[in-house]
Amino acid sequence: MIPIISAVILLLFLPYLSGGNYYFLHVSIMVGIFVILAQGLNILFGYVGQISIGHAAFYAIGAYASALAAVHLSLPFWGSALVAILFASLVGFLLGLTCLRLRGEYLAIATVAFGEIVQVILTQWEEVSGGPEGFLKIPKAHMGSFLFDTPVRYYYLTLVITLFIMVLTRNLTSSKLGRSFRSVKDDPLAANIIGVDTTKVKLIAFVLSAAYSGLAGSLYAHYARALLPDYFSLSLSVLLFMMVMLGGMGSLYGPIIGAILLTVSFELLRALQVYQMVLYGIIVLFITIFAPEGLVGIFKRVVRKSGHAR
Amino acid sequence: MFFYQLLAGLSVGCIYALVALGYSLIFASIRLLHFAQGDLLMVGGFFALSMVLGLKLDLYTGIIMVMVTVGVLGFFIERFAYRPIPQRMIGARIMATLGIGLILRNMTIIIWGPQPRGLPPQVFSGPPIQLPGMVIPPAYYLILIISVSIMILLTLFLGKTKLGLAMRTTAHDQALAELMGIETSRVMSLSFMIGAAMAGAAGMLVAPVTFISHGIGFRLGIKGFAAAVLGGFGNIPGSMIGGILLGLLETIGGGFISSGYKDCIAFVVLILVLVFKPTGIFGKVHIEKV
Repeated sequence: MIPIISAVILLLFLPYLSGGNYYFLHVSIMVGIFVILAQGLNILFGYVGQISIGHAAFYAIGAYASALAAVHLSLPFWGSALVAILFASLVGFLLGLTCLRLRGEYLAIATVAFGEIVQVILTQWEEVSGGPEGFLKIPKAHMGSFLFDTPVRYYYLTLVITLFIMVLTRNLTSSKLGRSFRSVKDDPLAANIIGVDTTKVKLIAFVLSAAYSGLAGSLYAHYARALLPDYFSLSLSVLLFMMVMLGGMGSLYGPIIGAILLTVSFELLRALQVYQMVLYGIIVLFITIFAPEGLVGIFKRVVRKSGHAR
Repeated sequence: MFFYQLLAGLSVGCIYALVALGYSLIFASIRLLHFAQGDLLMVGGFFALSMVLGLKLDLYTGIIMVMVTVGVLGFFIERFAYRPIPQRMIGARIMATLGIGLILRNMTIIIWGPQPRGLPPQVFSGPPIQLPGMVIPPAYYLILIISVSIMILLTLFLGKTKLGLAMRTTAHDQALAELMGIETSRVMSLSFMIGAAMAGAAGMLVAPVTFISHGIGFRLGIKGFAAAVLGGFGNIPGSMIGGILLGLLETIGGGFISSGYKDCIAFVVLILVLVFKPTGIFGKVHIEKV
């Protein structure tokens, strides 16, 4: 408990420690958004074992829904976030319903196709999405008369929502629902026999996962204030997938590690220009080969070993 | 006009079929959904560029050289990136293929630059076929002839040779194949190399028709995958027919909807087939109760 509390205190004072450095805050906000996204994918993929490489689509749906709600209904932040969550969940429910019978690689590829379809629609449906030029002039996030207009204010908004999501995930996954999640992942047949409604559990996971992504989309929309369909590409879905895999699927803190690692290493390698992505790929490959259970897996192994030594 | 669309659909379909064959071979032999297949195609296209423009090879020696080099590249990829990961870890294996794709895409940017490049269409040299009322340019029929002969050779290899039999046995049941004295790890290596070579051949055939850039891999890759699923995954004649069917569907069906949505056809077909007939249109009914 002590490490968690000290981490939260550190995060609370982060803007002051960084001296209000804009770039540093920007990276921190993006890490927060990616933690929510990765946690959402973690529920579906890490806990229930349903692979998705199309999660950028839910993120996009959340972002566009939130932007539309803010522009046309002039809702405050919590209102447009709610719209984003509802829309993303609805689509998540429909996708889950469609893909119920697919497993493993087949589900992975179906979600890739889903992501591509959503991206094509966002590019083509110009009247609603603004088309390839993007959805511009999204209003700043506000609640009542309070405006989240500076990076520091937005940092705190992101931090509060991210922490809320972490607590929610912790409670969800240690509840009865969380146990049925894991049972479906480990052995769907056995889960069925002991009375877990696997269909229902999978659908709940799809909806929850989409809802998380929708919320992250809403945060992103009011932060970037302009949305381009190109951003929500397959590479983004792949990046999210990598965050969950590298951090450690099915663990509460894995997605945080994955999101920080990939966002920060991406920024650090930027100086290498073209070689950046090659190096990035090599790092990913190395971690996958030598720690197929993710970095949390290594950590657990080390702890277990030192425990035996004692 | 319709006839031309039919021809265009056929030649695009042949490319999809080659990609689909690669997917099917690799999936059948090492149970790997090879997400980097499209990137191997792209690498094949760039190799073709160097072979034809740099080494001044003609189409036929060029395609053989491209298939060999991409096959060798495939050998190293399979040996060092995919084999170390246990087969039951589906997520980690998919991840490794994504990492390889990332490396391949960006290596080509470093080597060949970020601009899209193309081969001159004259690579397909031959007399245009004169039919009453129309002229068929050599590119159309050469793509058709070359890819169909590659597929026939592959089918003969798998069906008639001892090595082909070993490959089919390994794909069917690895443990059984090992008991029969087949060196499965070598056979699996070979299967992967052939699968990679298929992608390389497709890259060579695509290069003179469209531009090759580091980004084309994934789109062509997933369309090839849709073709493989359409024809029944792991089913080799099915993959060919699936590819051609998808090519026709895209070029002819694409005429009825706005061109921006044309790319969606493959994805919608993919999801529909996966949901309603996961064994593909030629697949056997295989019931698994969960």
